[in-house]
Amino acid sequence: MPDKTRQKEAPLRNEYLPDQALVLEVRELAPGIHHFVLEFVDPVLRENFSFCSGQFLQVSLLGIGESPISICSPPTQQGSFELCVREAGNLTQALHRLQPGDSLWVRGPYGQGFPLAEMAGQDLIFIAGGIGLAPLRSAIDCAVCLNDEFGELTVLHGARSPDFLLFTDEYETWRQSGRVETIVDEAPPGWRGQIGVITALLDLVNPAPENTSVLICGPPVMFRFVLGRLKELGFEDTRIFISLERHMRCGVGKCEHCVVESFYTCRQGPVLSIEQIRGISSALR
Amino acid sequence: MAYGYDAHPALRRWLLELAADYRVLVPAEKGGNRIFQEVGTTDALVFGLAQDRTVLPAKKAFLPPEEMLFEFSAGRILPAMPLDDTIVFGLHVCELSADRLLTANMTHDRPDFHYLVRRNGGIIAGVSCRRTSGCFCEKTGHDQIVPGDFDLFLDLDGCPGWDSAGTGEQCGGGAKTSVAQPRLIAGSAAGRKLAASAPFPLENATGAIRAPVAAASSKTWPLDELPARIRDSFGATIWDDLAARCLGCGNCTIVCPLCYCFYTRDETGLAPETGRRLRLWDSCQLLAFARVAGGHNFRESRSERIWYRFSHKFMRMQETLGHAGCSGCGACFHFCPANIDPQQVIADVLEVTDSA
Ligand SMILES: Cc1cc2nc3c(=O)[nH]c(=O)nc-3n(C[C@H](O)[C@H](O)[C@H](O)COP(=O)(O)OP(=O)(O)OC[C@H]3O[C@@H](n4cnc5c(N)ncnc54)[C@H](O)[C@@H]3O)c2cc1C
Ligand code: SF4
Ligand code: SF4
Repeated sequence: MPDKTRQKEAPLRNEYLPDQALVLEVRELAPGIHHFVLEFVDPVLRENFSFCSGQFLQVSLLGIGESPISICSPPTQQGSFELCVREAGNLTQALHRLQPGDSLWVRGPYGQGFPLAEMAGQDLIFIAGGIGLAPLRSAIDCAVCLNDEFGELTVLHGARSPDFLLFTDEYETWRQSGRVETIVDEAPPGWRGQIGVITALLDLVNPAPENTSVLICGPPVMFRFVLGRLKELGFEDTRIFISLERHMRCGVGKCEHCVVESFYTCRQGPVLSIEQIRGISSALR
Repeated sequence: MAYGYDAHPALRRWLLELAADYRVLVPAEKGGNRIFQEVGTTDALVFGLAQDRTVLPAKKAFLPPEEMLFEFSAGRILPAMPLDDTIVFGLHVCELSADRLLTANMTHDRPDFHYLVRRNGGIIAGVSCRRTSGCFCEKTGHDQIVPGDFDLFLDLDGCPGWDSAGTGEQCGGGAKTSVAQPRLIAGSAAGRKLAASAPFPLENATGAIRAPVAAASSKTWPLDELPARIRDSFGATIWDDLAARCLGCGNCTIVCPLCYCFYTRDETGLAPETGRRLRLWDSCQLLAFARVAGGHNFRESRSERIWYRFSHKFMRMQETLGHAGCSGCGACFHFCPANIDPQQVIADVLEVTDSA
């Protein structure tokens, strides 16, 4: 008979089995971008699920596929969690057909989130390009919820056009803890907001680097300009955190798709400080 | 004369006996190639145990090219339970060493369930090798194994029909022994237990087992320095030169005993609510490996993809696991349509980073 004596004592965890979650609400935030409110079917998991802002889930539909999606609700929210999904390919298109009562499957949370605990007492600047507001919204809501723990909050959000500005109905709440500025690449006549690139918002608010952390998520092109401007303003690399995007399959450092030189975006990231990626030229592309 | 299963009817009988209780994989001939095959499914157990390399490495026993992660039906998930009763017989020292490192990799950080269920329940048995053309395990530090890295080892050194003397090579560690018949060396309790029914004398391993030393042993590589050297070589023209030759076919990584990356795919039956989630071997040499939805490719250029392959093996695995992720088996070179030779690549890396 097969010899089982060498089997490990501790039971091995099977990372690849997802848990079922039900769609409670769904709404279209912008063309091709949907916001889902979900709850785990398993009551124990529903109760005990915990994560950090900036962490992601591996979200799937059976028979379609699986993708990393950031959690966009704050860790302080009990009983349900939220995702914000942009139509990009197979899975994300299929997710857009979901209705309340339908289910999807998730495993996680994975990765390192924003180190909000270490930012206690500081002013926070959030810089989000497009769908990049999703993981930041989790951190913003968390900071708003724990208002006394942080100084002034500043949210800078850029989008393709006014239609693509996300979570617009929440800006009033956020403004009670600080400032929200938006800018778009282009706008129809009659738009009275800002037009231009997101660095213009940095010039507008002209933040001081003292006792301030910066949280960034957006497309790679945005990183370069924003980081250049922050450097000019005197921000230190240890105080700037970005969330990186890479192809991912497993979320646990085994499939190798998300590797950047010597780190796994899924394990050491997706949130990294600029200090952590210094000298790694391929990280910021 | 090949030292084969046919030369040893007792070995063949023993393997067939084991196959009643286990899934036993041995290197055997198929269509002119040497392939790890299941005993019982093939009669062709005639190829020399110690001859040339197999097409796919032994890793496929524990990490199949395609495997099911789970099945689903009507909104329910049924986990796949990997088999834990595999014996792989006939691995060379470099392959045993690679197995140890691959297992360390799959155990490291977040353990890989499917691999480890198979591997922890499995048994691996080595065999003496004659050097295969184009192999270089002494350069990568995969030229010896210690008890615990293997369960059993069939030492053929000094056996009739086993001609390692002709090449002036040595087997079985240190001085050449004069055993006139094969002996089994047990490297673990599980191996010892299994060997009870074997038709060979059994001994306990007392130390490292070494691969035969290369006749004209060229210098070993400075493995500790390679991470920094590889890092420094990023963007060097050697990678562009390689890119001009490489076809981007991915053969090199498929035949590598230390490549393990994968992608996943869902498959449905005729009824879309039933199906399976699979994982399949992938290759960083393929264009789409780092491409994301929308078309952006984080490693668009072939030269970067080749650098990436070598950086995984000589930088990343060296740094995180303390061993190079290259066993020195030479399979990638042998199966590369463009004849890209890792020995030359590392020599070039050492050269271009020498002045620095
Ligand atoms: C850490 C992280 C957080 C993310 N958070 C969000 C989010 O909150 N909202 C959102 O809309 N998008 C997010 N994305 C991007 C999202 O993962 C991709 O849009 C999605 O994978 C596309 O999958 P698809 O099946 O629709 O596309 P296809 O092109 O069919 O993709 C096939 C597979 O390739 C891989 N893949 C393709 N594109 C990406 C990509 N951009 N990133 C990672 N893997 C990819 C996935 O494994 C995917 O299943 C995030 C990506 C990462 C890495
Ligand atoms: S070298 Fe490439 S193919 Fe091999 S495991 Fe690493 S990423 Fe995968
Ligand atoms: S086998 Fe050769 S040609 Fe094919 S991807 Fe590897 S190095 Fe390139």
